[in-house]
Amino acid sequence: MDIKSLEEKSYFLRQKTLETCLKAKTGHVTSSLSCVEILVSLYYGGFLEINPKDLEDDDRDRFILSKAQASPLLYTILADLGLYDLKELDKFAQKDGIFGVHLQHSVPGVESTAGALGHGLGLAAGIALRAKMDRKLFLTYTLLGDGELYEGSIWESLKFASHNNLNNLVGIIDRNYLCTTDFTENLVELEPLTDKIKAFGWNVIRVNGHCFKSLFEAFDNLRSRPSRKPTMIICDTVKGKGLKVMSYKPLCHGVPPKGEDIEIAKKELNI
Amino acid sequence: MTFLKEKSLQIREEILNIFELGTRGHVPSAYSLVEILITLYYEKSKITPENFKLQDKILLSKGHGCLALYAILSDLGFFSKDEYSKFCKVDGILGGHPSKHKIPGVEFSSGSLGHGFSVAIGKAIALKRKSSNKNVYVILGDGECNEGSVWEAALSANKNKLDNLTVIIDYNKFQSYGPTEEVCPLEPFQSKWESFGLECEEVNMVTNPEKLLDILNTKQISTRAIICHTIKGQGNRILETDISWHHKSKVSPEEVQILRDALI
Amino acid sequence: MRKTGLNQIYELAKKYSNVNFIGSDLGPGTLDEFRNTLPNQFFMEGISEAHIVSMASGLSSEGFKVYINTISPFFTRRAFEQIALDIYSENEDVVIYGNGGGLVYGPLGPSHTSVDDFALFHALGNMIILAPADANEMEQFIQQSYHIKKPIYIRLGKGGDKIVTSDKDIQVGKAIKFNKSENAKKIICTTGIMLQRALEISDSLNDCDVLHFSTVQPLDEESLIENCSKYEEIIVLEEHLQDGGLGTRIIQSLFKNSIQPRKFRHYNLGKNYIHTCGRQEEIFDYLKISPKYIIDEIKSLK
Repeated sequence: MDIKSLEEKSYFLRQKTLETCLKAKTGHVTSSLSCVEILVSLYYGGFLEINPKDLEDDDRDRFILSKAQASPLLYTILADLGLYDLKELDKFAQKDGIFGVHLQHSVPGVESTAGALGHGLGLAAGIALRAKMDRKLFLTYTLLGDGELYEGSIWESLKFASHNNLNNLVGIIDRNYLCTTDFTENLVELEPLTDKIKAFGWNVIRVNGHCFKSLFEAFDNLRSRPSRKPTMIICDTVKGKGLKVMSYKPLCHGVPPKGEDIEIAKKELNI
Repeated sequence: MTFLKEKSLQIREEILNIFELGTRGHVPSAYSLVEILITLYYEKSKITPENFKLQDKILLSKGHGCLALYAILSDLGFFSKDEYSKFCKVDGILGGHPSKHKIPGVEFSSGSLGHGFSVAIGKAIALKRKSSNKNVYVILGDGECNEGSVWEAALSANKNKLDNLTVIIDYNKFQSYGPTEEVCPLEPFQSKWESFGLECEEVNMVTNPEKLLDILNTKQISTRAIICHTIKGQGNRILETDISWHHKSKVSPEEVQILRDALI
Repeated sequence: MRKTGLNQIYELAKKYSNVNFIGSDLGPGTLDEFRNTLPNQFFMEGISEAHIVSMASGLSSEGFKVYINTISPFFTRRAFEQIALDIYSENEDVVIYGNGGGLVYGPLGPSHTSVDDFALFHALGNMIILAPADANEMEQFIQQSYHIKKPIYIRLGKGGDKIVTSDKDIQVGKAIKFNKSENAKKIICTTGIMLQRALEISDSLNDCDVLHFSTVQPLDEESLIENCSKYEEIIVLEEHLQDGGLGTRIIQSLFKNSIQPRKFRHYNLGKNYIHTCGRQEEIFDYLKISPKYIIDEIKSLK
């Protein structure tokens, strides 16, 4: 896909994600919107090699969504790829649907169940290690939230992955600078983040997480294992990107727009 | 001979006395700690049973190094040497890991790794709130820095701007399974601490242990990490080279004598 | 209930300067005033539960009272070791204020629901476990908690729960009796927000009283024995997995005291984590433990 089509796809996914969450009256809209371009690069930009017709193919790339809050976006993408009907999304977070607010392995195309933070990187590292041991060439990607970096388990996994030279592991941080209550740098400083991850032995690339050109440059070439060490792509993003009514605002975490914001949000995304 | 050298030799002998009478323990992990603890207890904080409650707080987070702590506390008069023979026994106070409920002079009950740094943060905040000018020192093992909770604490120490807290790492390069660099490497160690917002110093505790006190006497701006390069089994020719001594649950007086003869 | 509790903690902090609050990137809104007026007593740390528990232990060991708050399972499961060693074993003066007790976060799935908390803390026999049913009870508990210098865990309900305890004497450690009829043959033992459901059930059956154990541990055995020996049928209703919760504890006490009811029923969340997502009430329906199902079942089995 060319960049224009990817941008159109991103727009469509933003619309659909918002619709889904509005209908369900729940779901992490802003956490999903910040990583749209990242997931679009992976799923539509050709960096995540999977075959929608054979989800069990052992040579497929793995994608572990550690920040499981972004599930409505991933669910939308998987439906768009034809793994199940788009109509299923109407039952997002309903007890008769196949999806929870967080992530469930039972949904076709989802690699792991998640919800508690700080688990995904360790899981992805285990998958990458197994790939090395079995001489499999696939890549394992995992998307972390920045708030998730407060969990000590992340730092345990970072050390493990670098020690075991897991250069088939790609970590991505959705650096949207916002937690539930506040901006990360007000809550507990994470910067200098690049230095921190480098000090834990990773190759680090930092990009604008909404710019396809930069994302492609970062993802490009990873399959040829340019470094002995695992690579972390820190993507600077905006939480709620695409919806001004929910961007740059703490306390918009975990909920769709409410009250008069509903109409403003719908208008912004033309739905 | 400097005070530190002389005292270190005496404490290392005492550790062997506990080892002999108690017939078990982690001796090499205690030996790498000796200079660090002496600098803190005798030189920097000058702890005594009388001033203990009001003085600086010293937390041994790597609880398996407790033999060094016990030898120092008994030397400072916190309890009688009669306890040595009751080490790890039901009628004694000295356990395989230190408990503050039973042992006078122990600030923090440890055993499981990765707790002490956070507890020290709580104490450092408490001292500031009480307008105390005392400091908090917490001693971590190098293997302990594998624990994610240590890095949770590092983020928090930076956030809470604790200039009355110092983290001292006994970097003896060995953890239970083998060399730290093989099991779970820590390098670049200094960059790790600095990237988490701590000021970081390194000391060679084998050739220049006096430098630790000099560093402790300089003013801190933020929480400080001091990486103390030590040798596991430091100060004993046999223990420095033979890793099979990490933990013994049975030891004969003859074996202890061999170790005694190997003190440097 | 959550807001009432947090407001009470704030009130305590205004009154007693040794009261501290540590949150884990949670609890917006009501806390702004706390943060602004008492910044020295307010800590909002990152998503690092293990660290927060140990830090609370450090503060408590220097004489402070500490309330720590995040979503319940991230304390009870993730930081269990820190709670067991740094808080419980040291008998520190720390209150664990766990949001989203039971299935409050039902839509968020098993990672966020707290359905095994009683079992985990029953293993720590001297940990006080509180599960208030409404905001009134919560208010009383927070006030009393300041004076209890021991580790306490409080399981929170969603909020907006119907107030049913306002005319009762609420004390940590005491069960509360709701008498419905003079010749009642059945009694429902319950805790937390299941009290409202138990009352609904007893209203519809005309021979059923209710005994509310808002203190799950230590269990008010005296009240249990005194009451339960009078009834033919004992029903336990709790928002917890089958094992290790109130039901298990009650069976243990009854057996120990040689009380044998003619019938014993235990309504609970079953053996496994619940992967079906839905709102609290929907899951109760799904598991058939909401009042309408229980009433039908009890009536049909008469």
